[in-house]
Amino acid sequence: MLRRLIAFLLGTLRIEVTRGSIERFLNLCLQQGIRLWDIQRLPDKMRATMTVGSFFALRPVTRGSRCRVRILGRSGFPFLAQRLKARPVLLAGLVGCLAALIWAAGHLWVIEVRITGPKHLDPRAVAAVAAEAGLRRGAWRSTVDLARVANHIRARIDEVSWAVIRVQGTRAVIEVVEKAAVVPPNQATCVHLVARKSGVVEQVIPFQGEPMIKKGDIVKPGDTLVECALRYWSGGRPGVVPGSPLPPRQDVARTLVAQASVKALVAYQDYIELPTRREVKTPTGQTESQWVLKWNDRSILLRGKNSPTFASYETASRTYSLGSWRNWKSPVELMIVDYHEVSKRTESVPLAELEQMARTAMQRRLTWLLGPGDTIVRPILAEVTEHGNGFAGIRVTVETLEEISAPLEGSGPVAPVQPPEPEQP
Amino acid sequence: MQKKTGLRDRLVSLLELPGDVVLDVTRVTLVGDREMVVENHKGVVEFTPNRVVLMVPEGRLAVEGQDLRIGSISPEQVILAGTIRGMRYTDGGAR
Repeated sequence: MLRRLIAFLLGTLRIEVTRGSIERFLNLCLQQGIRLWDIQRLPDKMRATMTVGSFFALRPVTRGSRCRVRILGRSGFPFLAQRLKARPVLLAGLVGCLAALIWAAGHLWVIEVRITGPKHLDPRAVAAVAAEAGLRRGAWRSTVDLARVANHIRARIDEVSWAVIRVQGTRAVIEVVEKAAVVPPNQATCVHLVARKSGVVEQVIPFQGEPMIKKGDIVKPGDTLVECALRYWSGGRPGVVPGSPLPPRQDVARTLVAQASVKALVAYQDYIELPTRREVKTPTGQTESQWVLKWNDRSILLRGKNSPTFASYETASRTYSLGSWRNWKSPVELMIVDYHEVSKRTESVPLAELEQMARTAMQRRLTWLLGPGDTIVRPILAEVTEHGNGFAGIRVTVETLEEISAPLEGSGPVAPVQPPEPEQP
Repeated sequence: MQKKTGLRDRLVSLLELPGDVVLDVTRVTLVGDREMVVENHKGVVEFTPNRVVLMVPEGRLAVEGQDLRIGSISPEQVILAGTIRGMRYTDGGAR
Protein backbone atom coordinates (compact mmCIF):
# COMPACT_ATOMS: atom_id res chain seq x y z
CA MET A 1 0.00 0.00 0.00
CA LEU A 2 2.78 2.40 1.02
CA ARG A 3 4.83 1.42 -2.02
CA ARG A 4 1.86 2.12 -4.30
CA LEU A 5 1.28 5.47 -2.64
CA ILE A 6 4.92 6.45 -3.10
CA ALA A 7 4.78 5.31 -6.74
CA PHE A 8 1.65 7.44 -7.27
CA LEU A 9 3.31 10.49 -5.73
CA LEU A 10 6.49 10.04 -7.80
CA GLY A 11 4.57 9.29 -10.99
CA THR A 12 4.80 6.05 -12.98
CA LEU A 13 5.33 5.12 -16.62
CA ARG A 14 4.12 2.07 -18.52
CA ILE A 15 6.85 1.20 -20.98
CA GLU A 16 7.14 -1.22 -23.89
CA VAL A 17 10.53 -2.82 -24.62
CA THR A 18 11.12 -4.23 -28.13
CA ARG A 19 14.03 -5.72 -30.10
CA GLY A 20 17.35 -6.75 -28.52
CA SER A 21 17.65 -9.09 -25.56
CA ILE A 22 14.80 -8.69 -23.07
CA GLU A 23 16.56 -10.82 -20.40
CA ARG A 24 19.69 -8.72 -20.68
CA PHE A 25 17.55 -5.60 -20.36
CA LEU A 26 16.11 -6.95 -17.09
CA ASN A 27 19.54 -7.90 -15.71
CA LEU A 28 21.02 -4.49 -16.58
CA CYS A 29 18.05 -2.83 -14.86
CA LEU A 30 18.87 -4.90 -11.76
CA GLN A 31 22.50 -3.80 -11.94
CA GLN A 32 21.50 -0.14 -12.28
CA GLY A 33 19.08 -0.45 -9.35
CA ILE A 34 16.07 0.33 -11.53
CA ARG A 35 12.93 -1.15 -10.04
CA LEU A 36 10.39 -2.63 -12.47
CA TRP A 37 7.06 -4.17 -11.67
CA ASP A 38 4.04 -5.66 -13.39
CA ILE A 39 6.28 -7.08 -16.15
CA GLN A 40 4.35 -8.78 -18.91
CA ARG A 41 5.98 -10.81 -21.67
CA LEU A 42 4.46 -10.81 -25.14
CA PRO A 43 5.86 -12.82 -28.05
CA ASP A 44 8.24 -10.15 -29.32
CA LYS A 45 8.09 -7.48 -26.67
CA MET A 46 7.79 -6.81 -22.95
CA ARG A 47 5.74 -4.33 -20.98
CA ALA A 48 6.66 -3.06 -17.53
CA THR A 49 5.96 -0.24 -15.11
CA MET A 50 8.59 2.03 -13.55
CA THR A 51 8.89 5.36 -11.79
CA VAL A 52 9.50 8.53 -13.80
CA GLY A 53 12.85 9.14 -12.09
CA SER A 54 14.16 5.73 -13.12
CA PHE A 55 13.25 6.31 -16.78
CA PHE A 56 16.08 8.80 -17.20
CA ALA A 57 18.59 6.17 -16.03
CA LEU A 58 17.52 3.76 -18.79
CA ARG A 59 19.89 5.02 -21.52
CA PRO A 60 22.91 2.76 -20.64
CA VAL A 61 20.51 -0.17 -20.21
CA THR A 62 18.95 0.23 -23.63
CA ARG A 63 22.37 0.70 -25.19
CA GLY A 64 23.76 -2.42 -23.51
CA SER A 65 20.79 -4.63 -24.36
CA ARG A 66 20.15 -3.09 -27.81
CA CYS A 67 16.47 -2.69 -26.93
CA ARG A 68 14.10 0.10 -27.81
CA VAL A 69 11.86 1.59 -25.15
CA ARG A 70 8.57 3.31 -25.82
CA ILE A 71 6.27 4.95 -23.30
CA LEU A 72 2.74 3.56 -23.41
CA GLY A 73 1.15 5.53 -20.62
CA ARG A 74 1.75 7.95 -17.76
CA SER A 75 0.04 8.04 -14.41
CA GLY A 76 0.54 9.45 -10.93
CA PHE A 77 0.46 12.78 -9.22
CA PRO A 78 2.97 14.74 -11.37
CA PHE A 79 0.95 14.02 -14.55
CA LEU A 80 -2.35 14.63 -12.76
CA ALA A 81 -1.06 17.98 -11.50
CA GLN A 82 0.05 18.89 -15.00
CA ARG A 83 -3.39 18.09 -16.38
CA LEU A 84 -5.09 20.04 -13.60
CA LYS A 85 -2.83 23.00 -14.22
CA ALA A 86 -4.33 23.26 -17.66
CA ARG A 87 -7.86 23.17 -16.17
CA PRO A 88 -7.94 25.78 -13.36
CA VAL A 89 -11.70 25.61 -12.94
CA LEU A 90 -11.59 21.90 -12.21
CA LEU A 91 -8.76 22.51 -9.72
CA ALA A 92 -10.75 25.26 -8.04
CA GLY A 93 -13.75 22.93 -7.86
CA LEU A 94 -11.67 20.23 -6.21
CA VAL A 95 -10.20 22.65 -3.69
CA GLY A 96 -13.67 24.06 -3.02
CA CYS A 97 -15.10 20.58 -2.47
CA LEU A 98 -12.30 19.75 -0.05
CA ALA A 99 -12.80 23.00 1.86
CA ALA A 100 -16.57 22.42 2.01
CA LEU A 101 -15.99 18.93 3.31
CA ILE A 102 -13.64 20.16 6.04
CA TRP A 103 -16.04 22.98 6.94
CA ALA A 104 -19.02 20.64 7.13
CA ALA A 105 -17.16 18.04 9.17
CA GLY A 106 -16.05 20.68 11.68
CA HIS A 107 -19.59 21.59 12.71
CA LEU A 108 -22.18 19.86 14.88
CA TRP A 109 -25.31 19.20 12.85
CA VAL A 110 -27.29 16.82 15.07
CA ILE A 111 -27.99 17.40 18.77
CA GLU A 112 -29.55 14.36 20.41
CA VAL A 113 -30.82 14.17 23.98
CA ARG A 114 -31.02 10.83 25.76
CA ILE A 115 -32.75 10.79 29.15
CA THR A 116 -32.52 7.97 31.65
CA GLY A 117 -34.93 7.92 34.58
CA PRO A 118 -38.63 8.68 35.14
CA LYS A 119 -38.75 10.70 31.83
CA HIS A 120 -40.51 13.73 33.32
CA LEU A 121 -37.97 15.98 31.64
CA ASP A 122 -38.63 17.40 28.17
CA PRO A 123 -35.67 16.72 25.82
CA ARG A 124 -36.32 20.08 24.12
CA ALA A 125 -35.76 21.83 27.45
CA VAL A 126 -32.43 20.07 27.90
CA ALA A 127 -31.41 21.01 24.34
CA ALA A 128 -32.41 24.64 24.99
CA VAL A 129 -30.28 24.77 28.16
CA ALA A 130 -27.37 23.21 26.26
CA ALA A 131 -27.77 25.89 23.57
CA GLU A 132 -27.33 28.57 26.27
CA ALA A 133 -23.84 27.13 26.95
CA GLY A 134 -22.98 27.10 23.24
CA LEU A 135 -23.99 23.58 22.19
CA ARG A 136 -26.38 24.27 19.32
CA ARG A 137 -26.90 23.00 15.80
CA GLY A 138 -24.31 24.50 13.43
CA ALA A 139 -21.78 25.31 16.17
CA TRP A 140 -18.08 24.83 15.46
CA ARG A 141 -17.06 21.60 17.16
CA SER A 142 -13.81 23.05 18.49
CA THR A 143 -15.51 26.02 20.16
CA VAL A 144 -17.88 23.93 22.30
CA ASP A 145 -16.55 23.22 25.80
CA LEU A 146 -18.28 19.93 26.58
CA ALA A 147 -17.46 19.94 30.31
CA ARG A 148 -18.84 23.47 30.68
CA VAL A 149 -22.06 22.53 28.88
CA ALA A 150 -22.52 19.47 31.11
CA ASN A 151 -21.94 21.57 34.24
CA HIS A 152 -24.38 24.19 32.97
CA ILE A 153 -27.08 21.56 32.42
CA ARG A 154 -26.55 20.15 35.92
CA ALA A 155 -26.66 23.62 37.46
CA ARG A 156 -29.70 24.87 35.54
CA ILE A 157 -31.95 21.83 35.74
CA ASP A 158 -32.57 20.62 39.29
CA GLU A 159 -34.10 17.36 38.09
CA VAL A 160 -30.82 16.31 36.48
CA SER A 161 -28.47 14.31 38.68
CA TRP A 162 -25.81 13.58 36.06
CA ALA A 163 -25.08 14.78 32.54
CA VAL A 164 -22.40 14.10 29.99
CA ILE A 165 -21.94 15.06 26.33
CA ARG A 166 -20.33 12.79 23.79
CA VAL A 167 -19.43 13.94 20.29
CA GLN A 168 -19.46 11.37 17.49
CA GLY A 169 -18.45 13.05 14.24
CA THR A 170 -20.98 15.79 13.56
CA ARG A 171 -23.45 14.43 16.14
CA ALA A 172 -23.51 15.49 19.80
CA VAL A 173 -25.31 13.22 22.23
CA ILE A 174 -26.39 14.74 25.55
CA GLU A 175 -26.85 11.92 28.05
CA VAL A 176 -28.84 12.95 31.09
CA VAL A 177 -29.82 10.98 34.17
CA GLU A 178 -32.98 12.31 35.75
CA LYS A 179 -33.27 12.27 39.52
CA ALA A 180 -35.39 9.42 40.80
CA ALA A 181 -38.56 10.23 42.72
CA VAL A 182 -37.94 11.15 46.36
CA VAL A 183 -38.36 8.06 48.53
CA PRO A 184 -39.77 8.77 52.01
CA PRO A 185 -37.24 7.81 54.69
CA ASN A 186 -37.69 4.56 56.54
CA GLN A 187 -38.78 5.59 60.01
CA ALA A 188 -37.37 2.35 61.44
CA THR A 189 -33.90 3.33 60.26
CA CYS A 190 -32.25 5.14 63.11
CA VAL A 191 -28.60 4.59 63.96
CA HIS A 192 -26.83 6.85 66.46
CA LEU A 193 -23.14 7.62 66.40
CA VAL A 194 -21.54 6.91 69.75
CA ALA A 195 -18.04 7.35 71.14
CA ARG A 196 -15.87 4.28 71.23
CA LYS A 197 -13.10 5.89 73.30
CA SER A 198 -12.76 8.53 76.00
CA GLY A 199 -11.38 11.84 74.88
CA VAL A 200 -11.73 15.57 74.44
CA VAL A 201 -13.68 16.49 71.31
CA GLU A 202 -11.53 18.50 68.94
CA GLN A 203 -13.61 18.63 65.74
CA VAL A 204 -17.20 17.73 64.79
CA ILE A 205 -18.29 17.62 61.14
CA PRO A 206 -21.87 16.29 60.96
CA PHE A 207 -23.03 14.89 57.62
CA GLN A 208 -26.37 13.48 58.75
CA GLY A 209 -28.13 13.73 62.09
CA GLU A 210 -28.15 16.08 65.07
CA PRO A 211 -24.78 16.60 66.81
CA MET A 212 -25.05 16.31 70.60
CA ILE A 213 -21.50 17.45 71.39
CA LYS A 214 -19.26 20.39 70.56
CA LYS A 215 -15.56 21.14 70.58
CA GLY A 216 -14.06 20.89 74.06
CA ASP A 217 -16.61 18.36 75.41
CA ILE A 218 -15.27 15.35 77.27
CA VAL A 219 -16.83 12.10 76.11
CA LYS A 220 -16.74 8.58 77.51
CA PRO A 221 -17.18 5.33 75.56
CA GLY A 222 -20.85 4.84 74.70
CA ASP A 223 -21.80 8.54 74.85
CA THR A 224 -24.06 9.63 72.00
CA LEU A 225 -22.19 11.92 69.64
CA VAL A 226 -24.72 12.38 66.84
CA GLU A 227 -28.40 11.54 67.20
CA CYS A 228 -30.18 9.76 64.37
CA ALA A 229 -33.00 12.29 64.14
CA LEU A 230 -33.69 15.60 62.51
CA ARG A 231 -35.80 17.75 64.86
CA TYR A 232 -37.81 20.88 64.32
CA TRP A 233 -40.10 23.29 66.13
CA SER A 234 -43.63 22.29 65.28
CA GLY A 235 -44.93 25.80 65.69
CA GLY A 236 -42.13 27.45 63.77
CA ARG A 237 -39.11 29.24 65.19
CA PRO A 238 -40.05 30.49 68.69
CA GLY A 239 -39.49 34.07 69.57
CA VAL A 240 -37.00 34.70 72.34
CA VAL A 241 -35.44 37.65 74.05
CA PRO A 242 -32.45 38.79 71.96
CA GLY A 243 -29.25 37.28 73.30
CA SER A 244 -30.89 34.31 75.01
CA PRO A 245 -30.48 30.84 73.50
CA LEU A 246 -33.20 29.18 71.46
CA PRO A 247 -35.12 26.34 73.15
CA PRO A 248 -34.24 22.81 71.91
CA ARG A 249 -36.11 21.53 68.91
CA GLN A 250 -38.32 18.66 70.03
CA ASP A 251 -40.39 17.24 67.18
CA VAL A 252 -38.73 14.63 65.00
CA ALA A 253 -38.94 15.37 61.27
CA ARG A 254 -37.44 12.06 60.28
CA THR A 255 -34.92 9.49 61.41
CA LEU A 256 -31.79 8.43 59.57
CA VAL A 257 -28.41 6.78 59.85
CA ALA A 258 -26.22 9.34 61.59
CA GLN A 259 -23.00 10.15 59.78
CA ALA A 260 -20.27 12.46 61.03
CA SER A 261 -16.57 12.88 61.51
CA VAL A 262 -15.78 13.34 65.19
CA LYS A 263 -12.14 13.76 66.06
CA ALA A 264 -11.00 13.82 69.67
CA LEU A 265 -7.78 13.99 71.65
CA VAL A 266 -7.33 10.57 73.25
CA ALA A 267 -4.73 9.94 75.94
CA TYR A 268 -3.17 6.53 76.45
CA GLN A 269 -1.19 5.54 79.53
CA ASP A 270 0.56 2.24 80.00
CA TYR A 271 2.75 0.75 82.71
CA ILE A 272 5.54 -1.51 81.49
CA GLU A 273 7.95 -3.52 83.62
CA LEU A 274 11.34 -4.38 82.14
CA PRO A 275 14.34 -6.25 83.66
CA THR A 276 17.20 -3.93 84.55
CA ARG A 277 19.90 -6.58 84.02
CA ARG A 278 20.57 -8.60 80.91
CA GLU A 279 22.77 -11.54 80.02
CA VAL A 280 25.61 -10.92 77.59
CA LYS A 281 27.36 -13.80 75.79
CA THR A 282 30.95 -13.27 74.60
CA PRO A 283 32.63 -15.87 72.34
CA THR A 284 35.91 -17.21 73.77
CA GLY A 285 37.21 -18.37 70.39
CA GLN A 286 37.17 -22.09 71.27
CA THR A 287 35.33 -24.17 68.70
CA GLU A 288 34.44 -27.84 68.34
CA SER A 289 32.94 -29.48 65.29
CA GLN A 290 30.77 -32.54 64.93
CA TRP A 291 30.29 -34.32 61.56
CA VAL A 292 27.23 -36.51 61.35
CA LEU A 293 26.29 -38.62 58.32
CA LYS A 294 22.54 -39.10 58.08
CA TRP A 295 21.13 -42.08 56.21
CA ASN A 296 17.34 -42.00 56.27
CA ASP A 297 16.60 -42.11 60.02
CA ARG A 298 20.06 -43.26 61.10
CA SER A 299 22.91 -40.97 62.21
CA ILE A 300 26.57 -41.96 62.11
CA LEU A 301 29.06 -39.76 63.95
CA LEU A 302 32.04 -39.36 61.62
CA ARG A 303 34.07 -36.80 63.52
CA GLY A 304 33.91 -35.06 66.91
CA LYS A 305 32.21 -36.02 70.15
CA ASN A 306 28.62 -36.84 70.94
CA SER A 307 28.22 -33.67 72.97
CA PRO A 308 30.51 -30.64 73.30
CA THR A 309 32.82 -30.28 76.28
CA PHE A 310 31.93 -26.59 76.77
CA ALA A 311 29.69 -25.51 79.62
CA SER A 312 28.16 -22.70 77.54
CA TYR A 313 28.13 -22.62 73.82
CA GLU A 314 26.27 -21.57 70.71
CA THR A 315 25.73 -23.83 67.74
CA ALA A 316 25.73 -23.31 63.99
CA SER A 317 24.92 -26.20 61.68
CA ARG A 318 25.32 -26.75 57.94
CA THR A 319 23.85 -29.60 55.90
CA TYR A 320 25.22 -30.92 52.63
CA SER A 321 23.06 -33.15 50.49
CA LEU A 322 23.11 -34.57 46.97
CA GLY A 323 20.04 -32.46 46.26
CA SER A 324 16.64 -33.46 44.99
CA TRP A 325 14.93 -33.98 41.66
CA ARG A 326 11.14 -33.87 41.31
CA ASN A 327 9.80 -35.92 44.23
CA TRP A 328 13.08 -37.76 44.80
CA LYS A 329 15.24 -36.63 47.67
CA SER A 330 18.70 -37.88 48.45
CA PRO A 331 18.55 -40.17 51.55
CA VAL A 332 22.17 -39.35 52.47
CA GLU A 333 23.22 -36.01 53.89
CA LEU A 334 26.15 -34.71 55.87
CA MET A 335 25.50 -32.40 58.81
CA ILE A 336 28.33 -30.36 60.32
CA VAL A 337 27.59 -28.79 63.70
CA ASP A 338 30.00 -26.13 65.00
CA TYR A 339 29.97 -25.47 68.76
CA HIS A 340 31.35 -22.06 69.73
CA GLU A 341 32.20 -21.65 73.40
CA VAL A 342 30.82 -18.49 75.02
CA SER A 343 31.30 -16.89 78.40
CA LYS A 344 28.23 -15.39 80.06
CA ARG A 345 28.05 -12.32 82.22
CA THR A 346 25.27 -9.99 83.30
CA GLU A 347 25.27 -6.23 82.97
CA SER A 348 22.84 -3.52 83.96
CA VAL A 349 20.77 -1.81 81.26
CA PRO A 350 20.90 2.01 81.23
CA LEU A 351 17.60 3.62 82.18
CA ALA A 352 17.56 5.68 78.99
CA GLU A 353 17.67 2.45 77.00
CA LEU A 354 14.80 1.00 79.06
CA GLU A 355 12.73 4.12 78.37
CA GLN A 356 13.44 3.83 74.67
CA MET A 357 12.36 0.17 74.73
CA ALA A 358 9.11 1.18 76.45
CA ARG A 359 8.50 3.90 73.85
CA THR A 360 9.07 1.40 71.02
CA ALA A 361 6.61 -1.03 72.61
CA MET A 362 3.99 1.70 72.82
CA GLN A 363 4.64 2.76 69.23
CA ARG A 364 4.11 -0.83 68.12
CA ARG A 365 0.84 -1.01 70.04
CA LEU A 366 -0.37 2.26 68.49
CA THR A 367 0.08 0.96 64.95
CA TRP A 368 -2.70 -1.52 65.75
CA LEU A 369 -4.88 0.96 67.62
CA LEU A 370 -4.87 3.93 65.24
CA GLY A 371 -6.82 4.25 62.02
CA PRO A 372 -5.52 5.58 58.70
CA GLY A 373 -6.34 9.25 59.40
CA ASP A 374 -5.32 9.23 63.07
CA THR A 375 -2.15 10.95 64.24
CA ILE A 376 0.06 11.13 67.33
CA VAL A 377 -0.16 14.69 68.62
CA ARG A 378 2.83 14.77 70.96
CA PRO A 379 5.94 12.57 71.22
CA ILE A 380 5.57 9.47 73.37
CA LEU A 381 6.71 10.14 76.95
CA ALA A 382 8.36 7.38 78.99
CA GLU A 383 9.30 7.84 82.64
CA VAL A 384 10.80 5.36 85.11
CA THR A 385 8.59 5.43 88.19
CA GLU A 386 9.92 2.43 90.12
CA HIS A 387 13.36 0.90 90.20
CA GLY A 388 14.61 -2.10 92.22
CA ASN A 389 14.58 -5.90 92.61
CA GLY A 390 15.99 -6.27 89.11
CA PHE A 391 13.04 -4.59 87.44
CA ALA A 392 12.13 -1.06 86.43
CA GLY A 393 8.53 0.17 86.17
CA ILE A 394 8.06 2.62 83.31
CA ARG A 395 4.98 4.73 82.70
CA VAL A 396 4.39 5.55 79.05
CA THR A 397 1.95 8.26 78.02
CA VAL A 398 0.89 9.40 74.57
CA GLU A 399 -1.80 11.66 73.14
CA THR A 400 -3.45 11.03 69.78
CA LEU A 401 -5.98 12.78 67.59
CA GLU A 402 -8.31 10.15 66.27
CA GLU A 403 -11.76 9.41 64.93
CA ILE A 404 -13.82 8.19 67.89
CA SER A 405 -17.31 7.82 66.39
CA ALA A 406 -18.87 4.43 65.76
CA PRO A 407 -22.42 3.55 64.70
CA LEU A 408 -24.57 2.07 67.45
CA GLU A 409 -26.28 -0.89 65.84
CA GLY A 410 -29.91 -1.43 66.78
CA SER A 411 -30.42 2.13 68.00
CA GLY A 412 -34.13 1.81 67.23
CA PRO A 413 -36.66 4.44 66.26
CA VAL A 414 -36.80 7.74 68.07
CA ALA A 415 -40.18 8.61 69.39
CA PRO A 416 -41.27 12.20 68.87
CA VAL A 417 -40.98 14.22 72.05
CA GLN A 418 -44.43 15.23 73.04
CA PRO A 419 -44.85 18.76 74.33
CA PRO A 420 -45.73 18.84 78.06
CA GLU A 421 -49.47 18.80 78.65
CA PRO A 422 -50.89 21.86 80.32
CA GLU A 423 -51.50 21.32 84.03
CA GLN A 424 -55.08 20.83 85.07
CA PRO A 425 -56.27 23.39 87.49
CA MET B 1 36.18 -25.34 -1.38
CA GLN B 2 33.93 -28.38 -1.49
CA LYS B 3 35.29 -29.53 1.87
CA LYS B 4 34.60 -26.12 3.43
CA THR B 5 30.97 -26.09 2.24
CA GLY B 6 30.46 -29.60 3.56
CA LEU B 7 31.77 -28.54 6.94
CA ARG B 8 29.44 -25.54 6.97
CA ASP B 9 26.47 -27.75 6.02
CA ARG B 10 27.30 -30.17 8.83
CA LEU B 11 27.65 -27.29 11.30
CA VAL B 12 24.27 -25.82 10.28
CA SER B 13 22.67 -29.26 10.65
CA LEU B 14 24.35 -29.88 14.01
CA LEU B 15 23.43 -26.51 15.51
CA GLU B 16 19.95 -26.56 13.87
CA LEU B 17 20.52 -23.11 12.39
CA PRO B 18 18.19 -21.80 9.64
CA GLY B 19 19.92 -22.72 6.37
CA ASP B 20 18.44 -19.83 4.36
CA VAL B 21 20.02 -17.35 6.78
CA VAL B 22 23.43 -18.93 7.26
CA LEU B 23 24.06 -20.52 3.85
CA ASP B 24 24.11 -18.79 0.49
CA VAL B 25 21.04 -20.54 -0.89
CA THR B 26 17.76 -19.55 -2.54
CA ARG B 27 14.54 -19.26 -0.60
CA VAL B 28 11.46 -20.06 -2.66
CA THR B 29 7.98 -19.32 -1.33
CA LEU B 30 4.95 -20.61 -3.24
CA VAL B 31 1.51 -19.12 -2.69
CA GLY B 32 -0.85 -21.74 -4.11
CA ASP B 33 -0.19 -22.03 -7.82
CA ARG B 34 -0.53 -18.32 -8.53
CA GLU B 35 2.50 -16.65 -6.97
CA MET B 36 6.10 -17.56 -6.31
CA VAL B 37 8.62 -15.48 -4.41
CA VAL B 38 12.27 -16.26 -5.13
CA GLU B 39 14.73 -14.62 -2.75
CA ASN B 40 18.52 -14.41 -3.30
CA HIS B 41 18.54 -14.68 -7.11
CA LYS B 42 21.34 -13.62 -9.44
CA GLY B 43 19.41 -12.55 -12.52
CA VAL B 44 17.04 -13.59 -15.32
CA VAL B 45 18.22 -16.09 -17.93
CA GLU B 46 14.97 -16.65 -19.81
CA PHE B 47 11.60 -14.97 -19.66
CA THR B 48 8.63 -16.18 -21.71
CA PRO B 49 4.92 -16.49 -20.85
CA ASN B 50 5.39 -20.25 -20.28
CA ARG B 51 8.83 -20.44 -18.75
CA VAL B 52 11.03 -18.30 -16.53
CA VAL B 53 14.61 -19.32 -15.79
CA LEU B 54 16.45 -17.54 -12.99
CA MET B 55 20.12 -17.67 -12.10
CA VAL B 56 20.46 -18.75 -8.47
CA PRO B 57 23.46 -19.73 -6.27
CA GLU B 58 22.58 -23.44 -6.76
CA GLY B 59 22.61 -23.14 -10.55
CA ARG B 60 19.45 -22.34 -12.47
CA LEU B 61 15.86 -22.41 -11.33
CA ALA B 62 13.34 -23.10 -14.10
CA VAL B 63 9.72 -22.26 -13.44
CA GLU B 64 7.08 -23.49 -15.84
CA GLY B 65 3.48 -22.38 -16.12
CA GLN B 66 0.99 -20.32 -18.09
CA ASP B 67 0.69 -16.56 -18.51
CA LEU B 68 3.76 -16.05 -16.37
CA ARG B 69 4.50 -12.45 -15.41
CA ILE B 70 7.07 -10.84 -13.20
CA GLY B 71 5.09 -9.05 -10.48
CA SER B 72 8.18 -7.18 -9.37
CA ILE B 73 11.92 -7.57 -9.65
CA SER B 74 14.63 -6.18 -7.40
CA PRO B 75 18.21 -7.28 -6.61
CA GLU B 76 16.89 -9.16 -3.54
CA GLN B 77 13.84 -10.96 -4.86
CA VAL B 78 11.63 -11.78 -7.83
CA ILE B 79 7.90 -12.19 -7.52
CA LEU B 80 6.44 -14.38 -10.26
CA ALA B 81 2.70 -14.38 -10.95
CA GLY B 82 0.52 -16.47 -13.21
CA THR B 83 -0.38 -20.17 -13.16
CA ILE B 84 2.66 -22.06 -11.89
CA ARG B 85 2.83 -25.70 -12.98
CA GLY B 86 6.28 -26.69 -11.74
CA MET B 87 9.83 -25.79 -10.93
CA ARG B 88 13.16 -27.57 -11.05
CA TYR B 89 16.83 -26.88 -10.55
CA THR B 90 19.16 -27.37 -13.50
CA ASP B 91 22.95 -27.14 -13.78
CA GLY B 92 23.19 -28.16 -10.10
CA GLY B 93 26.56 -27.89 -8.34
CA ALA B 94 27.51 -24.74 -10.15
CA ARG B 95 28.51 -22.91 -6.98
